[in-house]
Amino acid sequence: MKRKIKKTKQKSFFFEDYKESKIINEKNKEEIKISLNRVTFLFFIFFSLIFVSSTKIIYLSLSPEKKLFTQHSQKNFTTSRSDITDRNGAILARNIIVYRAGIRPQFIKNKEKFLIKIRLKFPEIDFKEVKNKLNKNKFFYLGKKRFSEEEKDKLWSLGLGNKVLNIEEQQYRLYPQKNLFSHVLGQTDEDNLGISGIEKYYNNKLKNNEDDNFPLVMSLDTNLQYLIREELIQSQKIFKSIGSAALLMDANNGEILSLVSLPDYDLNKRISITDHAYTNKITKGVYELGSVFKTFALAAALENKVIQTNTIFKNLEDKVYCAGREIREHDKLPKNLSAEQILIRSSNIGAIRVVQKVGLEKYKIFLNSLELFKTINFDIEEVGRPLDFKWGKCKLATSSFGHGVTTTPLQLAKAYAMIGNGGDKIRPTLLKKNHYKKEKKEKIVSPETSYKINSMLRKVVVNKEGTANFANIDGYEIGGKTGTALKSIDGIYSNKKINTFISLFPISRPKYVLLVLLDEPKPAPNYVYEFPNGYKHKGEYRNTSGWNAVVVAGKIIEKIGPILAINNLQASKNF
Amino acid sequence: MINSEKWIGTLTNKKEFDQSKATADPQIWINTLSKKDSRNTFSKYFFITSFFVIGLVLVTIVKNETRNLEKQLDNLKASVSKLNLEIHYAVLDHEVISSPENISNLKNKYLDLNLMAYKKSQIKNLEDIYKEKSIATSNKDEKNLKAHLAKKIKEQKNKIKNLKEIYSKPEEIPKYVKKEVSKKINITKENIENTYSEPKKLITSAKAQRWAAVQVIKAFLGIPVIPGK
Repeated sequence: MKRKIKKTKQKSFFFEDYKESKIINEKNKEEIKISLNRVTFLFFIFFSLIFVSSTKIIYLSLSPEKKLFTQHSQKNFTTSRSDITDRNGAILARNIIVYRAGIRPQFIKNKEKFLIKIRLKFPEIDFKEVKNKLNKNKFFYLGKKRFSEEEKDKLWSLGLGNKVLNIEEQQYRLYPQKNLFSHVLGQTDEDNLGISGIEKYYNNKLKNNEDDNFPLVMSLDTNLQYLIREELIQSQKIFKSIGSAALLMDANNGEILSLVSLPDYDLNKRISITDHAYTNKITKGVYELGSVFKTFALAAALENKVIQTNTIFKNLEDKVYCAGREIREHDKLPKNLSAEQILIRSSNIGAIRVVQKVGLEKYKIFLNSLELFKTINFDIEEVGRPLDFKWGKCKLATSSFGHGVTTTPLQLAKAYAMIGNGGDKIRPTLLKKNHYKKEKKEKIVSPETSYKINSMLRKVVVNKEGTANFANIDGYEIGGKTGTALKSIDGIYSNKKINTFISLFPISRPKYVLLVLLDEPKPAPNYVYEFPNGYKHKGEYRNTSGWNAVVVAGKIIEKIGPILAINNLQASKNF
Repeated sequence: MINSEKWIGTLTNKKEFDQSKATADPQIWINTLSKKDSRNTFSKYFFITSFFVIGLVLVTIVKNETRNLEKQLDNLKASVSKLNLEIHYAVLDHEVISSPENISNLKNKYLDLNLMAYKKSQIKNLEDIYKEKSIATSNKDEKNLKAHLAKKIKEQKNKIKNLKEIYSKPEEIPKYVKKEVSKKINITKENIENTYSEPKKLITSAKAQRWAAVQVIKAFLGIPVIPGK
């Protein structure tokens, strides 16, 4: 059975009659071969067509990035440099598109007609200059450097054609506030690269990235800046100073709200300035700032607990000698003065006695902790480097009242802010800070010392014998210290003065530091001084800080106070 | 050594070739080969070709539509870009126009105002002012009213006092005054009695004549006869 089953499953063989079938097959084969060739050929062509089309379609479908159908599409407008704004979002610097018009005279058929057209459409362009350039038959740029969008259209409407007219697109940095922030913002060159100020320091950040087109937000306030600048301009007319400067800073976080230095310049004019008078007096100017240093002497003594505010210094001399040089009081003062009175009455001899109690090393360490004598790390490169000096007994004495030591007004303001804010270290900045981010602050002085110094600074303004009575503006609780220093020209002291007044307000909880500096102020006998009690005084021939810088600071605070919205309703009764 | 005996008989026996068995039966092989289905081949190619053609047409249509949409998108992008540029310049213009310097210049040019800063001591709280004012006005009104009432009361008191004095001493009133008052009372009484008893007697001919004469004169002079017209 098994064998039978196997047999049925066995493959069968077919035997053909070769001779007969061979003849028939050969005939058919030839016919089939011809028709198969035709079909194959047609199919090949058809398939090739489809393949080519499909390939093209697939290629087109896979390349969506290229705008193959829209040749006249307009490019997205992007600036090559980010905006700079103030703390309220007001634009301080922005790029705009401008055009340069190049002319190829060799292609102009009728030069006279061209000149007439230019004269009619652009009367402001120097006609003679264009005529001269036309005659030279060389490529030149037409008239002014930059044409606006409308002017560009006007140029095209002249019908000069592409051969004659060559319009080049450029980006130009515009500063809508003109002079207002000239010393801070700096400038850019023709290639839109920062060459000074913030523009240079934050060049990489400002160089635009399409994904990151956010403006650089500064801590400055345009309105405050304007008001302070206006007041300084007025003061220059009254006190005939050759320059002036002011700095308003948040005493708690170092944000600079206003930085003015006069004279200033219009950033849009892009002129090269070599005159030293245009130096940024706040950051670049290095000065001996005088009696404003007495506060540091008192602070060092209080911090080192060598004196109390009521410690009496007896038998103070009228003058002392140091390295053969005479040191005198600025005015007739009592022989016995308390530590507090030394600051209020601004006693030079008293300040010397105070630092002598502190000692050279401790005083040196204290001043170094305030970072007054090293180059400040700031947001612009235009910063001054305080002059080096050697410490000694004489330097200790003179530094107590701010002579023989130099620093920048910015560093002075920083030191006052740190002493006034409860002793927290701050870093002055021109950028708006993230207020939600809490930083751990290093302590420079104790809160007790800070409180005592603030109390004394308030008395400088409020007390009758104080030197800054004109700054006693109702409602703003101002405390401060005056500084009158002789100006050193080529290393020799002159009669010209640098007057400074640095104030903290509201003094019960200092929030702002205002520094006012007048360069070479003159007496103003025609100016009517108005005392806080309403008494008016005219014919004053003194030109110490109390008679000019303090007056200016008072006026500034009176104007900016409402903007700063200082609420003194809960002001401490201690002040 | 190979044992030849062992392998003898293991090979198959050669049998004679049977021709009849070797001849194939053609009936068995008929219909064993698959028939060529020309209809199936045709439809297969037809479907493939149709699919390609329809695919191509569809792709073309879709691509055309895409092209149109792309054009529209591009136009919209261009207009957005243009608007962005306009905003860019408008914001800049706004900054220039609203800059403090410009506002100050415009103020000096067009406003005839001399703005001045007030000291804090010069500024009073509105609530305080209202309070002071309301207290002052209420005090004033109260005072006036009291004074007025006091005056009236005083006057009335004086009148009452006088009357009391008069009535308390009637013998002190002079006799001629008493006579005149009684005479007047009598006349008035008589008139009233006459009017009520004979009202026609009140209009006499003399009175009527006088009235008529007055009306004629009035009409002659152009004065309205009836008063008020």
